[in-house]
Amino acid sequence: MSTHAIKLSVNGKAYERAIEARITLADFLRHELGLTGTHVGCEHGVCGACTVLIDGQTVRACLTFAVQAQGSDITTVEGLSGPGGKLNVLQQAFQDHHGLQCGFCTPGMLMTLTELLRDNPDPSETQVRDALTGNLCRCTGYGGIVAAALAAARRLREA
Amino acid sequence: MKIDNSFIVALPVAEAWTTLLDVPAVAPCMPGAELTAVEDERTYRGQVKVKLGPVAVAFQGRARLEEVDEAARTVRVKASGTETKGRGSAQADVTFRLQPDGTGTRVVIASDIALAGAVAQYGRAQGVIADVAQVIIDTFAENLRRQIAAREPAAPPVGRGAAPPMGAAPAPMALAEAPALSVFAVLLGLIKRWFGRLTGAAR
Amino acid sequence: MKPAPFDYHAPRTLAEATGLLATLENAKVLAGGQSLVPMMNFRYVIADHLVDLAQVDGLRGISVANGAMRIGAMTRQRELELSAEIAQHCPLMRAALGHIGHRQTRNRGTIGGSLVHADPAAELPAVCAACDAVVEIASMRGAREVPFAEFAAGFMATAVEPDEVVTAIKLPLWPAGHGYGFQEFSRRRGDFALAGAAVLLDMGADAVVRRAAIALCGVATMPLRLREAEAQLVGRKLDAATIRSAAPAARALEPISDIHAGADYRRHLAEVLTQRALTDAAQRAGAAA
Repeated sequence: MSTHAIKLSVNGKAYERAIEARITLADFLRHELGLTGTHVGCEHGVCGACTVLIDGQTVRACLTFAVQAQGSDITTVEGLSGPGGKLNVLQQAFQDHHGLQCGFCTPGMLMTLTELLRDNPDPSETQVRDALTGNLCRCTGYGGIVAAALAAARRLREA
Repeated sequence: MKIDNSFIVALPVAEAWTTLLDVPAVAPCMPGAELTAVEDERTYRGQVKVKLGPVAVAFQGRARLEEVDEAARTVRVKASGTETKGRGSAQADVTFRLQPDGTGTRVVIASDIALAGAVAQYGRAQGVIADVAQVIIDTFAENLRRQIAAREPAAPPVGRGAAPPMGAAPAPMALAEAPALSVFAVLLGLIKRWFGRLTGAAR
Repeated sequence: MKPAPFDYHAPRTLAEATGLLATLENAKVLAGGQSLVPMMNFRYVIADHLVDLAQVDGLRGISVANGAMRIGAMTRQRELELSAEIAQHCPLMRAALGHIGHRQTRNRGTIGGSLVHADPAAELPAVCAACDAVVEIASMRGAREVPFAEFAAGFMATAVEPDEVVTAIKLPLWPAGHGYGFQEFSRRRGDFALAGAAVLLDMGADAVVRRAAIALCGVATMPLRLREAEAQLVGRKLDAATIRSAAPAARALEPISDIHAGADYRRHLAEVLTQRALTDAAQRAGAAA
C-alpha cells in the first residue's frame, strides 16, 4: 500500500513521517515516535486508554488514523510533565490521592481530566464522574481518581 | 437457525423434480450466489455474498447433493463455506421435498443455517442475523418458485461483484433480470413482513 | 484488531469527493470515524478506499432561515452541543446529545456520519425522525432531498447510494416554547441505548395538544415513529391519563432481542421511556405557555 507523508507536532515538537494510511494515531505515537505513554486497550473506542488531545480536544487515538492528524498539534501524557520530568499539578494529585494502581488507564484519565479542568475549573464531583465515563479503570474503583481530580482542581484555582 | 418455506407450482411433480435437480439453473435463485465450478455430478463450488448494513461478507465453499431420493422426491443439500476474508464460516443443511398437490406440486424446503466466527459474533447485529437468514431463504424460495413455475432458465447471478443489501424494508432484492412483476411481489412480501414485525401481532 | 490496508483520499471540494465515490470500487466515506473505524479495526468493514470529508469545504455549520435549521453534515457533535441555535431552536437535539457516546467521541463524531451509519440505537436518527428532518444528498448525478421517513431503510441501511454523500440535514422548526423530552436507558452512561424516546409537543394555551411527535431508538432496526399514539394525543388535554394512553402503542412493538436486552425488556423500556419523555415535554410546553 502507498504511504502518506505527514507533518504534525506532538507535545510541541515537530515530526515528519511517511506512513501507511491504516496506521492509527495510537500506533503511530507508540511505534513510530516511541511515545508509549498512550496505551491501547480495546481498539474500538470504549476504554479510553488511548485518549490524547488533538488541537486541545480529547480524542480516541485508536479511532483516528495518523493521516487524519496531518497538520495538528497533539498532546500526549508525555507532554504533561515539566522540565526534568516534574509532575504537573494533576499528575501530582494522582500520586497524592492514589489515583492509579497498575497505571494502564492513567494516561487516558489524565488527558480527559486535563480537558475537563481547562474547560471547567470548578467541577462538582458529579461533573468529574460524568467526564470520566469514557475512561475505564479496572483497579481503583475510581475513588482515588475522582479525589485526585477534585484536589487538582482546587490547587489550580488557588494558584 | 431453522427456516421453513413451502410453495405450490402448477407443474406435475416429475417436471418440478427435473427443474429442481438442475443445480446450475437453481443456484442463482439464491440472492448473491454464484456457481464457480462443478466438481462432480453432485458437488458444486460457489460463492454467496451477503451485505448487512456496512458489512459485506462473501462465503466461498462447496454444496453437495448428499441424498437424492427420486422415489420419495426428496433432495438434501449440504453446503459449507468460509468467509473469504477470514471472518468466519457458514453451514447450510437444506432438504427439499416435493409432494403432489392436485395436478401441481407442493415444494417444501427445510433449512438449517449455522454461522460461526466473527460473522456470528458482531454484537450490534445479533438481533437481526436470524431475520437476515430468513429473508435470504425466503427470497431463495420465491425465486425458486418462479423458476419452477416458469420453467425458464434462471436469471444470471446477481451482478458478479454486487450483493443485494439485506435487512432493508423497501430495498430491492436480487434478480436484476427478473420480470418487474416478480420483483414487486418480492418487495411487497418483504415490506409486509417488516411492517408485520413493527406493528406486532396481538399479544 | 488492525484495519485491512486501504487507499486514503482527502478531497477539498464536494465535487472532488463525489467524483472519487463515483469511480472508486468499495469506497467508504470517512466522516468522524467514531463508528466506522471500530468496525474497520474489527475488520467487519473492509474498505479498499476511504474518502475523508474532513477538509471538504461547505459541509459544516448551522444556519436558520425560513422556518428551518440547516446543519452541515460534517458538523461535529460537540459543536452541536455548544451551539446557541440548537439550544434555542431544537432543544430536543441538545437533550439527546448528552447521551451520545462520550466527550471524546463527540469531539470527532458528526451528525451526518451518525445518520448514515444508522445504528438502530443511535440518538440523532431518532431526533431527526421526530423532527421530520430532510436529508440533503449529493453525487455526480446531482443533488436530492430525502425526507427522513424515506431515508432510514433498514438495519444500518439508508437511502444513500455508494456514490453519494450526505451534505446537510434540514430540520423544520417547531414553534417557540414547544415541549420536548428525551429519555434513554443504557447499562452505563455512554453505552448504546437499549431503548430511547424522543418527544416533541406543541400545545395550545389550554394545554390541548396541537401536534405531537414520538420517535423511539434502540427498539427496532431503525427509528420508529409512533404515529398512532401521536394521532391519539392530538386534540386532547395532556394529563397523566392521556400520557398513559400512549403506552399501548409502545407495548405493541416487536422489538429486537439480542445479547444486550430481550424483546420483553425493550418493550417495557419503550413504554416507560415514552411516558417519561411525554411527561417532560408536557411540563416544558406548559411552563413556556
